[in-house]
Amino acid sequence: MDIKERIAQANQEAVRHIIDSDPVWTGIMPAGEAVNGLEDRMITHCGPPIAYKDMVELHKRGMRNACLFEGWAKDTEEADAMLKAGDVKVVSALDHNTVGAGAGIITKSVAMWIVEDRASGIRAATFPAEGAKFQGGFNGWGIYSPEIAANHRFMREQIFPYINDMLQKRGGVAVKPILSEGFQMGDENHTRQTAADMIILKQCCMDLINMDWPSDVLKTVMGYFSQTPRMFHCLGQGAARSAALAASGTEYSTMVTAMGGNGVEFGIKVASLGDQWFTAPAPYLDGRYTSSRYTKADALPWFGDSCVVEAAGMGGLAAAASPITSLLRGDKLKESIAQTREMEKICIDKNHNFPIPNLDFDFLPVGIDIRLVLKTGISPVMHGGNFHKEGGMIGAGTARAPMECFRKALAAFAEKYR
Amino acid sequence: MIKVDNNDPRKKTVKVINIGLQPFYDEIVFQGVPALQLNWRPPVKQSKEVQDMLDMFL
Repeated sequence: MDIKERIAQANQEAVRHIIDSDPVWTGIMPAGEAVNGLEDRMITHCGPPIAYKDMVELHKRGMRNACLFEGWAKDTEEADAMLKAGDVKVVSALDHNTVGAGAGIITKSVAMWIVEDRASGIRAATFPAEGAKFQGGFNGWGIYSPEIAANHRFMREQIFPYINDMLQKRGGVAVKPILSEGFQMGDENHTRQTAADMIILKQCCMDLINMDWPSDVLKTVMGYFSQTPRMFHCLGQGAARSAALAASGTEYSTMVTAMGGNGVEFGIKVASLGDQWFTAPAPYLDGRYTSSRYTKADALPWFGDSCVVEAAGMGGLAAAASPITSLLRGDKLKESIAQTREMEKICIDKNHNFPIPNLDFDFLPVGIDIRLVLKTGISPVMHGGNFHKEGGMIGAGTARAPMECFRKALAAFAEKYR
Repeated sequence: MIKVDNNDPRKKTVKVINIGLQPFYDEIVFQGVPALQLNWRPPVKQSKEVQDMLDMFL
């Protein structure tokens, strides 16, 4: 078998890990138990590895806030000194079995949702949506206040133990059927999960009621389920991450398994190249701002690992599924259909689990191939939120993963297999 | 009697295939002219190093 045939075979093997994955929301547990290698006095961040001193200010602030949340420092000055001295380690979330959505700040005591790919047995942990009132919070946007910290503790102690009990009694929640139905109802499962949020609530509603909790508990849990915007995003990211981890390590495969940015650099990983990062300056998003007072000067370059969903064939690759997010980005539907069709040119296969009405029930492309990206000059499109330099979301739009990442990855592939 | 010149381009129905940027196509359609947008882009020019790797692996 020549090298080209080996690569084709390996890519089919790698992409099957995504297509045939069977992600299930199985439980909730502390990050210290759920995230492999997450030690005491360690904080994860989004994107490729970066030292504390080189982080954007939003990221640094999030790191300091994490120290306060865990009680490692009494104030931000002490936290800053600890981080500068290396007394608290900072690591990339995507070097572990988790996802650094937004700022990607995860510490040992934060409650994490567990998504297990039952096809491979691999578990990924994703941090939960922070409720209706504090969405974003310090995990997502690095914003901190006593109220945000109290909300985290409240979710961890007063909501999630109950949801976990429901999950154990129910045997988990299968994620893929909800993703599939959501795609057919207008979600692209990165910037929109409106349909998926309603489907999971409908699926779990009677299970929650049948738990026979006191009425105040039931009201609190149902309130979280029904009022948290984009709650399902956490499960979509967990599904994408667990499938990508199953594909990681596939020798000879040129499929992308991870993508993420830290506001300074953007990086990708490739199935056959393990945990090696291939980086370039992080791109800015194009799209719409929530207010006319914002401009590009206020925005951060790509910040967050939520584009793991693109690596699993969702979000920017699924633009055709979601007319309403076309509007959010300032596009027309036909441009979103063209975007998905363009992404087909850089993908290994199509995912038969996701037939899309706007594509006459053709399937979504899946499995980004670094060779096809370079050959066509077409870089993956990622949907995402636009972060303000000082924190908070100021818009939404798209960005393309930098071509330089793919050039470096192919060079490393050649180094290994030539 | 006026002689009609059937070769006069102004008397013919224009049909357009646009190979250029999408806005040209949009503008033509906006004016009620039948048009097709060809999904085409110039071949990508690679550096020799990248081209050599693509030749080897793709």
